[in-house]
Amino acid sequence: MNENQTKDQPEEKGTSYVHIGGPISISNKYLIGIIRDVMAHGQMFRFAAPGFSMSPFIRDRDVITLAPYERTTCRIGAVVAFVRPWTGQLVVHRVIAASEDGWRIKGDNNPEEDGLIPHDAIICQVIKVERDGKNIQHGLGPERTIIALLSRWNLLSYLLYPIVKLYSVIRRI
Amino acid sequence: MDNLTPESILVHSDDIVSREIEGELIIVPIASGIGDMEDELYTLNETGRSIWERIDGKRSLQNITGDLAEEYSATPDIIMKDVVGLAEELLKRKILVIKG
Repeated sequence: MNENQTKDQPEEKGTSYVHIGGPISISNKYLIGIIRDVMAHGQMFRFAAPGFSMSPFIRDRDVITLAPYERTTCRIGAVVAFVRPWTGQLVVHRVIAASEDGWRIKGDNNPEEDGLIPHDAIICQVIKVERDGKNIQHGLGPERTIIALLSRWNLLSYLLYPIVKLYSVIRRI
Repeated sequence: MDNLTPESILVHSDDIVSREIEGELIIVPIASGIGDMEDELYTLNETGRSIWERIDGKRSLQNITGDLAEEYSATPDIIMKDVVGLAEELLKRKILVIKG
């Protein structure tokens, strides 16, 4: 998930002064500001994440919940939100390896890594994924370490995706 | 609301995050522990913003009304209706609180 969002009109609810809720898309740089403000209060943040770079575990427009980032408890396999240092863009991808200076991070569906991201560029961590109103369990549990290792070695597309495709075919039968 | 009067002074709640984005004011409540952009996001229209910006914990609803009436050359009664209407709406949603 790293595409810029564009501004849409919010759903018309509320009163003549206040429009309430419903998906509103705002540009990436403003979203970063709001997320930082919410994290500074020690609170979580929930929004629909656009993009395909974390598919199949986080799909386009899945609703993700973010919690404040704790360096000491973050592990390989965690999905984190960070600001790409050279573009200022908000990105939500997976930690695939550790180093003293930061984390190596990569989108599950990307062929290339994001590179070494310093710890202070990381804003928060994904703790929940919802799709069509249901919690999605896959990708954030104990299997996340295996996913990270497969991703690091570029084996996800060879091993996992055929399995995921087969599973969805079987489910439809 | 029973306890809202023209002399009431309101402040923005501490349990919100607000940002002006491309000319619109976006308010995200965080009292529940989650800033929820999907289900609990508020945006104020132009009238709402004019009023919101004047709610500073110092000015009463009466003061705000007078200020806006002068700026927009409008009748204070009509302005007061908008000010109280917005105040009630945002108090109900705990986005504003009454000071003191």
